[in-house]
Amino acid sequence: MTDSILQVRDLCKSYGAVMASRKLCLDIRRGDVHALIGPNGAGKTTAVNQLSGDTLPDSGSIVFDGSEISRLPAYRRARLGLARSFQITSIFEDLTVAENLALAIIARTGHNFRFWRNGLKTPLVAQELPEALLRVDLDRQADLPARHLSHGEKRQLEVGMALTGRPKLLLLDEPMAGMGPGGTVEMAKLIRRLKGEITILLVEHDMEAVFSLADRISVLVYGECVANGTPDEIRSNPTVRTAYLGDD
Amino acid sequence: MNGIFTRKTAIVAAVGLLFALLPPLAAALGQEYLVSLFTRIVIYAIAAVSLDLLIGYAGLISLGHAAFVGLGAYAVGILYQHSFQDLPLFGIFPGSENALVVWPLAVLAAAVFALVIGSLCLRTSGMHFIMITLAFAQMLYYLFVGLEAYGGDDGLSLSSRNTLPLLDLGGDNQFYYLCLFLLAAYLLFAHRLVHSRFGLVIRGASSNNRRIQAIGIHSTRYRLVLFAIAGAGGGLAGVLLANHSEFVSPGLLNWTLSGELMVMVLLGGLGTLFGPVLGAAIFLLLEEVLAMYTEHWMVYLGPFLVIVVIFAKHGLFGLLAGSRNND
Repeated sequence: MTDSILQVRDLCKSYGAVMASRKLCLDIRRGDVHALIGPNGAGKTTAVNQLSGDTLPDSGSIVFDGSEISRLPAYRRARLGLARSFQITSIFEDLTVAENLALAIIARTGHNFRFWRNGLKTPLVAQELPEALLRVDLDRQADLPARHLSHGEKRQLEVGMALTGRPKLLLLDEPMAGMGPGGTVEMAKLIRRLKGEITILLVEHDMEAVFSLADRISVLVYGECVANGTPDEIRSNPTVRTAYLGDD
Repeated sequence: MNGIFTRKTAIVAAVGLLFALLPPLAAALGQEYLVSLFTRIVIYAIAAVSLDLLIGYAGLISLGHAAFVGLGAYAVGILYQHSFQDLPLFGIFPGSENALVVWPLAVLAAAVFALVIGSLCLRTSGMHFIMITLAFAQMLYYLFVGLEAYGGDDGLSLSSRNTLPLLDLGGDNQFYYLCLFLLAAYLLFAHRLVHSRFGLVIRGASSNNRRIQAIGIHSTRYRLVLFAIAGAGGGLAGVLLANHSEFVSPGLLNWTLSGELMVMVLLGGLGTLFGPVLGAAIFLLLEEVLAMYTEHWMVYLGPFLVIVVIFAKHGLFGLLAGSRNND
């Protein structure tokens, strides 16, 4: 268990009569791309929201890198090294691309009560911004307001922001949703490049991508984790076949 | 971003020049009252710019900005009265007419008040934020209406302006230039502010607060500090207004002033720093001109505002300068 970066135990969350998480348990090993799959309404996004702190669980524990985080607000978890992308792209639409990434860079410095010097010219930003722009291939759009980017570019920017914080664990909530085939390939390439550097929890509907990218897969059905294993194990697991992959 | 000579800088330079040359111009035209009118414009501009920091940059729609203006003004009035009557405030502080003492104290009082009510208001958002800021301002208004010791309904009259070494604030031109200098200083500060790291956080939180939490920033603390900075700007405007008219009344705390400041921001350009200056100028000039013909001058201002808001997202400044650059 020493090499696991995230341990989730008995996580419960209900919305009225609906149990979105039902004694959910999950272990993510350091360095893995760990995929979380399941049919619509299985509670995947709810699970990710509880990990990131956007939603607080009703009960259960989340241990991240050795510390219990299930009660911490989102911004504290982010500072511990937990970054995320949202299912619906979430960037700073009104700021320029460079400002978006600069915010992600300065976010980890703890406090930003600096009132005078141009934010883009502070040493930390000046040092890291060019590389951050290149990494997501947006260096030519640096001064463009982010709202003018294409959908795929916004997606890249969002992942770029999550990466800029040098996270230990990256939560990607359906990063390929709504992308064309080209965008999906780009995103898969990016994830493959990150593999080994950062631990990734990937929630995704694109099964082809999941089975080719993931080291391990957990299957969620009705808020419960019904199977864990390597892609091959999952593919041949009878419970999963009936519950999810179905007639495949 | 694209060189020095943009339409934006041209407009700022032209308006700046007009403001700077106003006293000699007014004298040449024989219209000395213009100096007094423009002093008011400059002072309202300070208040409007500080309000725009909240509305235009932080997305915090405050309908209680008059509270800070009024507080700054009352600080001047109260300290003046205690000094004048030789009656120590709270039995210890003797009161003062010295601008170097009174003005920082007044601005500080406004900022501290902003911190206190901000820490409560910022727990809410949207409609609730509008209403709670309005509620706090109105509470202060009724407090001062009932405060007979300081004139209550009738307000306080000052028999002269505060004193400052080297400058004669009683002289209208000198007072005008001092106000203009303070406006320029506040504008410069605000300009640096919105592009600083602090400003990035503020604008980011306004654009997408969930995202800013997700990258690890607790935006409420930043908003609170901005609220205090804007409150200080409002307080400064109040200090200058009290000195300009040598009169302080609860009207400076009333929501109608908050509303007027908001109209100035919208007219001139929400989310632009120079816009509110234009907005204040246009609002007060229209008032001056239209009031000559009818006391119901608002009837004309209303449709004008509606047209501007519908057709110009960044107000008149955005329209003139091209709305691509917003600062």
